Amino acid sequence: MKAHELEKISAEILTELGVKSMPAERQAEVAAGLIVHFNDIVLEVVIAHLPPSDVDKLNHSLMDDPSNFYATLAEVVARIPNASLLIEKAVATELVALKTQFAKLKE
Amino acid sequence: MGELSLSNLPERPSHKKIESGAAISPEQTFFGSRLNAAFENADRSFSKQSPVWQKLPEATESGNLGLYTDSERFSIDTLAKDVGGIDELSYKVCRQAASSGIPNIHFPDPATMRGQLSPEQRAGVTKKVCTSIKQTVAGAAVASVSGHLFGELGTKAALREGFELVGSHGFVAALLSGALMSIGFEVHKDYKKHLLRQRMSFVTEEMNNEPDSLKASALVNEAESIIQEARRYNFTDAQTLPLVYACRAARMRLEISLHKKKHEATGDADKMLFLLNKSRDVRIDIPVSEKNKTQTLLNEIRTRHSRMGRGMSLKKLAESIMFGALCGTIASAIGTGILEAAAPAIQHAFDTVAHQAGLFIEHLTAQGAHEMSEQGLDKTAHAWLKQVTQKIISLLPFHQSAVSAAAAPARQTEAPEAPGIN
Repeated sequence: MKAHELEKISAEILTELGVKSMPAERQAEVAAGLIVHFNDIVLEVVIAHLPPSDVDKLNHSLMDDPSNFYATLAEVVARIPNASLLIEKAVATELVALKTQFAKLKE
Repeated sequence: MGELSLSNLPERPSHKKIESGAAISPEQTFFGSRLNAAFENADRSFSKQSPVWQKLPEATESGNLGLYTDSERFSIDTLAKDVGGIDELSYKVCRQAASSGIPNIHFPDPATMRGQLSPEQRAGVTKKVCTSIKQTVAGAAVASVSGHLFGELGTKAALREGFELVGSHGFVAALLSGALMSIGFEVHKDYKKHLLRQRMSFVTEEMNNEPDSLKASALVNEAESIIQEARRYNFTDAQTLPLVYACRAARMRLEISLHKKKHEATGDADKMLFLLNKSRDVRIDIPVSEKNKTQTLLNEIRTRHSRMGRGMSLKKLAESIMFGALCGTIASAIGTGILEAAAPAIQHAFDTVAHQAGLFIEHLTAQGAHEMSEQGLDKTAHAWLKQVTQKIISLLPFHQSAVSAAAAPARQTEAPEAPGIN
């Protein structure tokens, strides 16, 4: 990830979460952790809503046609009803959870 | 009161109930009969010299038989050895108490009994437990303070002796049922949820009370167990989830407190990284059944990501997902035939991408989504929709299959209900 992207993302996330200013290198470290964390959540939520046939399809794509995996993934996600809402809900929930927990940790 | 001995015990003690205010769970009426078989061989010899029996007259008068060691006159281990095991002891105590008209039996927390807590802590726990029992269990009762070892066995023994769980509320009842569930009894899901909430509240409160490191460690484990239980049963309703989060937060705070003592990691960055690390362990918003399916695929993706290096990227995965989700939203809107009416939904999708998930995932859909969202917010729905459509069209060649899939007729089977929050 480029440094300026990290800075931008960090500032938004950290403000949202109530994290005070910190050295740039630590900020980058935290931002990277958050991005991985939320990427994981998005991925998990989506895969959890896939019918078994699409899970198989993705598995096959991973094995046999990895170069098209991203396209296959987008394709199956597109068929999930209300996928964007599900993702939004999961992300928002996790955001609230992190904020709550972080506030508690700081008490 | 007459002499107390095993020889004059009635064949079957009078039926007693644990009364309280909560709803009765139908499954619980079967407990007694199901336990009979397990206890058929339990009626073995028993020492009449046991301190338990020596205390019975006093206990009967006061209405309580307390096995906790305020006076440290005996220990659980001694008792257990005396009667051939904790199981046997529980059984005998219950049987004797039931036949003697003792309404309340307080089983001790094993940690308390084993002297792992200081006298002050022990007194505090005992007081809390007794207060809890008095507050929550009216009338005849068998109370268990531990959902694990002694309480579990004591509960079984109590049931064997004709006590019936009618349903209750409060910490003690929660533990009782926790014990029952842990030994394989089915409890109505709503009741289970109700009890879990109480366990969670109690453990959370305890964790927030700055326990010492020994107790903290036990509480952390207990919290983990409760959270896992919530996860197992997918208790993620609006009433339960805040408690889960509170419990999780308290657990993490406790853990970080322990962590701090070891590593002096006190900065915001350390706390957040610690939080992220831990929160992955205890997420509950994916049902277990789905979790397995998810996990297998995720593991495969991650393995490949790690193995292939530049071949796979989480960023690309997220982009593909968000793009697919967006295509689905657009296609759904198109499917309604009323594009303008669907504009808010589409805008919402972009909003989500740009402002919600967009906070955390780089370039979620394609470059420019964020700018488009910002521009679109100030435009009329029609103009916004047109702009969005143009953008989607511009992306078509790249993700044609996704758009095609989204535009195809809705599949026959609905996706599972959204996990997580209700």
